[in-house]
Amino acid sequence: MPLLEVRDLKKYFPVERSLLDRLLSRERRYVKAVDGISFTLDKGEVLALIGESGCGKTTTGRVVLRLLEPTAGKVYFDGIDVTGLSDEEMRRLRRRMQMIFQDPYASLNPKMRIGRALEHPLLIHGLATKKEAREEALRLLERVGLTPAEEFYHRYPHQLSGGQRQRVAIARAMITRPDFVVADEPVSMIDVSMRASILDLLQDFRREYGLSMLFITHDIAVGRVIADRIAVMYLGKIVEVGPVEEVINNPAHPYTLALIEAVPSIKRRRRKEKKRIVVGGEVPNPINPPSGCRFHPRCPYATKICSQEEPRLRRVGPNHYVSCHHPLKQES
Amino acid sequence: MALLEIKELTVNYYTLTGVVNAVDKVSLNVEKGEWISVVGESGSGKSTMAYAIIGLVPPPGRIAGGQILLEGRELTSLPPKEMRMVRGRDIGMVFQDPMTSLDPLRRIGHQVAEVLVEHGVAEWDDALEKAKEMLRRVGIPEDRADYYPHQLSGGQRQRVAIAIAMVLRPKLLIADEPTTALDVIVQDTIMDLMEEFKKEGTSIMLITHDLALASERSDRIAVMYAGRLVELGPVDDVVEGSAHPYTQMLLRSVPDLWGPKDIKSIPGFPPDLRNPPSGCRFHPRCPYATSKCSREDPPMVRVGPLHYAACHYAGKLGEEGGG
Repeated sequence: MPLLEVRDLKKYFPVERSLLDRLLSRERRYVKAVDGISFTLDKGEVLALIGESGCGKTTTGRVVLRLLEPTAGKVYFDGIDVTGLSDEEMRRLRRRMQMIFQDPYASLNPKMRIGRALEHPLLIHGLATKKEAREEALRLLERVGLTPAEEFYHRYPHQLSGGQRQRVAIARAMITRPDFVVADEPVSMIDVSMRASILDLLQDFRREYGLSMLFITHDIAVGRVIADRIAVMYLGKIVEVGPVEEVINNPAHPYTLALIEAVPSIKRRRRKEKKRIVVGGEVPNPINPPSGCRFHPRCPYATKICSQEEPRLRRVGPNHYVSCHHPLKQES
Repeated sequence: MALLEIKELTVNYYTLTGVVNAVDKVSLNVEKGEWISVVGESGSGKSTMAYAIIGLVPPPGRIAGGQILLEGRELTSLPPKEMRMVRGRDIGMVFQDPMTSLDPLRRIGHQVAEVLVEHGVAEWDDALEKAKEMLRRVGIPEDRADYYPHQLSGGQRQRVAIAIAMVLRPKLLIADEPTTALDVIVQDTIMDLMEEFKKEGTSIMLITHDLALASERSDRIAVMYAGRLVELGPVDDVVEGSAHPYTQMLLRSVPDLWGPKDIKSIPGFPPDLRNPPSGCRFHPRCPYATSKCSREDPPMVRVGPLHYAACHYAGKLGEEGGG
């Protein structure tokens, strides 16, 4: 049984109606941020959720942890239906499901010393005495490379650099020894030369705790470093999911190929090469997404069926699935 | 003669807590028709240098030394009024946030046309026609000339910013992280657009933290660290045979879609430029550093026909570069 199972998950946000809309009793409209996605995550596995801004990847992470209530669909964690839990039951489960946010400047309470911020989750979950919590906080500080730990224990967030704050945020998420963590763009605000050490740290915890991770990123090259599998999202849907190297080397969805082609690379500089795919336009408005396949207005391979029928997820290889009427790769 | 010559440029910020030496004696040429990318992390001085070129270093910053010559003409001593004419006519600039250069309350066509009118190139009627033409040129359909910036996507706004920067056909376009806030597919099309202007003869200076982005389009790359130029050369030389340990380590620290997965961070942190390290500013983080490195500023030495590095041991460090 997978550790996490997400089934047909939806999250719609109502659009604010103007006075005119109300006077004319126009129907309320919705941004379909996440529109029916399903995936599983095994124990100890890292799944990278990749996509451009507005594709629904961040909303997915928040709904999975029930920081947002889903509009429809189910989330099972270790066999428990998370969507049906009471607030109290959910609070107890939070010890095992944690989150690391993108902005280390916004995710730490500026008035709380680092030591207290770390002890806090242990104390509210009743997992340790004050003395034990302190020892554990110091151990974690050491573990994430903030040494001397005693010194960092007494500091405030504003006395730390962005990279150091992100280490604190990781330590805080790890202190309750969770089974599962959602990491939402954890390195995108960190200076390039220091990103690798943050990714290394997450890898270490994964090995140590058998941690499963939903790693949300816009950067497919970062996702490749840490993930076992990649799921590509476009306008609220998962369009392709599969093993990392397979998805990168043999993408089945034209959108995935376009994304990969656009990523600049030092190793494969394409200054004089012809592009393998050219897509037009930009991501359409999620209030009123295109019919059929949502990518069809931009897709060079689109035919009539693409605008009429929504493609189902189909298998194109071992563990490799795509939602496309004309996949670039077939099951051999 | 080079289009732009930067000689020993020094820019300081005179803050209440001390003098921040943001750019320290940087010398760099931009040749006619070339694309040069200036690569560095936050605090490297790359953006400050760009602002110095267009005469817009924000206070409390000031050019403290050196020269900037555009086709032989000294820019640092120009009166503000003349410098205003240089901007737009000779040098165009686009910023990370296109709203820096766009007025949210005015139609985009007017904003492009205004540049022509301000510089006395055209009257309003004519300017509006030319503006539409320019918008079409950057990929904005001309029926959108009446749109306001908020009606456009981020990528389209950056296209309008480029139209404003390029409408007078300046000889040099400086782009400061123009795609950092955009998604990769849009980034790629913006880079294509800049490349088209390059093909028509415009020199491009791209300021970026993204070595991979720089490596794909540039003719030459300049690497900056802690206010200093540390390496300069043709793209292939810099990314495949980098001579400065900082460049070598930076290359190993960035995840590349087609490169090795075991990336390595550079240990330590960039220095506080109120009190920069003595000698080579990279020495506290450099695995090869000797006592000489903390005592003496390394000179820029030639390691290839057009390839230079500011390291006491440049060219003597073995084949560690390029991952």
